[in-house]
Amino acid sequence: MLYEPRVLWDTPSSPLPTSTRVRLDRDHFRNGEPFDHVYTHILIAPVGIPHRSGSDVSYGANAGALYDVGVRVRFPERYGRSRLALNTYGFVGKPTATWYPNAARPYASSGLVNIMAWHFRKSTPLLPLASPEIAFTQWARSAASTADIDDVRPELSMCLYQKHPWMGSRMGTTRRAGTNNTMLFSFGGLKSPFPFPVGPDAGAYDIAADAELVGSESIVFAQNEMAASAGAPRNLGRQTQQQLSAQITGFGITVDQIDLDDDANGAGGAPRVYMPLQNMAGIQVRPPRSAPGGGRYWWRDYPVISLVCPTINDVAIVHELRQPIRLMSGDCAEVELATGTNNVTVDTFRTLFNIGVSMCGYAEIPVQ
Amino acid sequence: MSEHLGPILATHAPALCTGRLYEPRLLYATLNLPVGGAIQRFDSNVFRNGERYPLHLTHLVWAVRDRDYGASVSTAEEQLQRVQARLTWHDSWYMGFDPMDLPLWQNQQGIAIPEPLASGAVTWRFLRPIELPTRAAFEVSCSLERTQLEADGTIPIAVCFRGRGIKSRQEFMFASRRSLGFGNANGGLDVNLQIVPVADFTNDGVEPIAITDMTISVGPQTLDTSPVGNIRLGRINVTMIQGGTGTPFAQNRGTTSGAADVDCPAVLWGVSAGRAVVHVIPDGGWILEPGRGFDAEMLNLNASGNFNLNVAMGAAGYLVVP
Repeated sequence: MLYEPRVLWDTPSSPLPTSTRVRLDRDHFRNGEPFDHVYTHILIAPVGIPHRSGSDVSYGANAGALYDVGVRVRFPERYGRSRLALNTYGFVGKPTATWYPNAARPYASSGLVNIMAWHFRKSTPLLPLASPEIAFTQWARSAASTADIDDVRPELSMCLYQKHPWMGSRMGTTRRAGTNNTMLFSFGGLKSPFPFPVGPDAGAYDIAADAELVGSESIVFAQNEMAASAGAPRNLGRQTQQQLSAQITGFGITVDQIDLDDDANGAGGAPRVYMPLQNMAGIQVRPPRSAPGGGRYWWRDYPVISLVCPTINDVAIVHELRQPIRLMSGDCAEVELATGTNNVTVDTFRTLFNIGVSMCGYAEIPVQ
Repeated sequence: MSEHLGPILATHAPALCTGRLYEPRLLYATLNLPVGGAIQRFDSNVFRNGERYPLHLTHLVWAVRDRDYGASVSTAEEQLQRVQARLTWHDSWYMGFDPMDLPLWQNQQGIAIPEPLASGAVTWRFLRPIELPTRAAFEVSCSLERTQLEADGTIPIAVCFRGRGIKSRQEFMFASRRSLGFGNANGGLDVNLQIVPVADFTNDGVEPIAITDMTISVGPQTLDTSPVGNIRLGRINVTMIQGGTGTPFAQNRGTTSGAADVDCPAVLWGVSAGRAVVHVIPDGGWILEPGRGFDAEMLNLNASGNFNLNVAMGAAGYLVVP
């Protein structure tokens, strides 16, 4: 049996009004592959919404988006995990968060080191010349640029944790997005796939939904960058290392947004709370056709990073399923969101929600 | 004496019930990382087993030191995001040929302490309990990283060990605290090494005790209105007397920057929970036979500005005494 990570996910295509019950697209929670999926975690993330208070222009109870929404998940051949939609904090259960920001930077909504990770329950092979290409969407704001933070360029680094048979230990290969050609953050009229809260209006947030397509300029870690290359004996040389196979045991993603948080806080003369960009940028993994699993994408489209990181995660709720859910080919889960009466009425907040829900697990692919 | 550990180990870590004596070890040192991205390497002796018994390393730990290094040096914790590290040994690299951002080394789940204490406390839950024989004690020394930052006042440093009686299975806690002066008016205690009363950590009972946890906290300055402690201000070392090997648990065998470095930054003791980046060495850890070790390198990603860094690194584990 061959294992590959899989994530089923969805985000409402339009903001949710109050006191509404919405079923997410069933096809987005369907196993459309000709083999079984096993899901081990449910994640719920406030997509594109800052979750940390700390300034007079924050949402006030700005965690409202998560506190006020209910989630109900039903699986085939089960009556449902719960009769009613559970409030999201009912799903809290796994201590995945890392450190809070330094007390000197209360406005920093990202974690102290801003790391997210998924350590796979089942490792997946990484064969020579068949390493995946990993792409991230651009993080763009929909509003007009704010000069103070125009030139801020957060940097993203990612590594694949690998286990090498000859070392018996877990290694990693990593690439860091540079600050020039490959910068991944841009202002200036580009549309974001998700609502983005920092507007030009001197402090209030504009989170009007921009249901636009993913920006055309994404950052891509190419296959040769994500090859099995770590920990190999030094005398083999790097080229030779890339011809060695390994098992991927997980991945980690970190975003350095220190400058963004600092500068946004001072922009426009008003303190602003920003957000972890892992809740804004989408990620896609594209195995090559020559990959042993047939080259299927690990998940559809571009879920935000926080929806695919059930092991270490500062911003999403991670619920570990004590009894993993098996979706056979064609099965689907049903996910409903129920919004309450959010009493947060800051002008531009518009009492809207945008919640992402995902299920993380793995595919069991029979080996011929 | 170590046969007493059997029942405890059987419940605490079944695979480790081997009848050996284990003593924590924390190899540590600090590296100056100037801006500009040049790779800096630790003294080769730092992460080397200089004792006569095998050393089982289980965790790697990093933190930015909070000392007064001058205006050109940043002591901000979040600067850990801009440091990369790489280990080399046995002709191979870890985790990869390319130095890897420190956040990507963080793989310890549940590392955060609740926010009210988050910046002031660390915990090390011992994978392998320490046996504290009757009449034995821990000698805990502590000091502060810097002095005279503010007006008078004291900084409390508290240490707590928790364990179970090997025969009675009763829980024991040993705790004590020492207030260190933070200004001249307090007699200049500041950075000098202080010994927490040994009597507070003495096993004066009738049975050996298996110590399973250790917590250190550094509280807020007594005269300060801020309720927030700062674990990075403290330095700690522990030695078992009348038991164990009699060697300090934390050891810096590299080039030191003076007597002020005799104690290990308290933040590095946060192997299980605290404020440091913690890398759980996968697949059970590494065994360093006597004389063996690895080299560690780090670099500062800041290109310019007052962002020179002093980053402390530790390698935590257990000395395995047959």
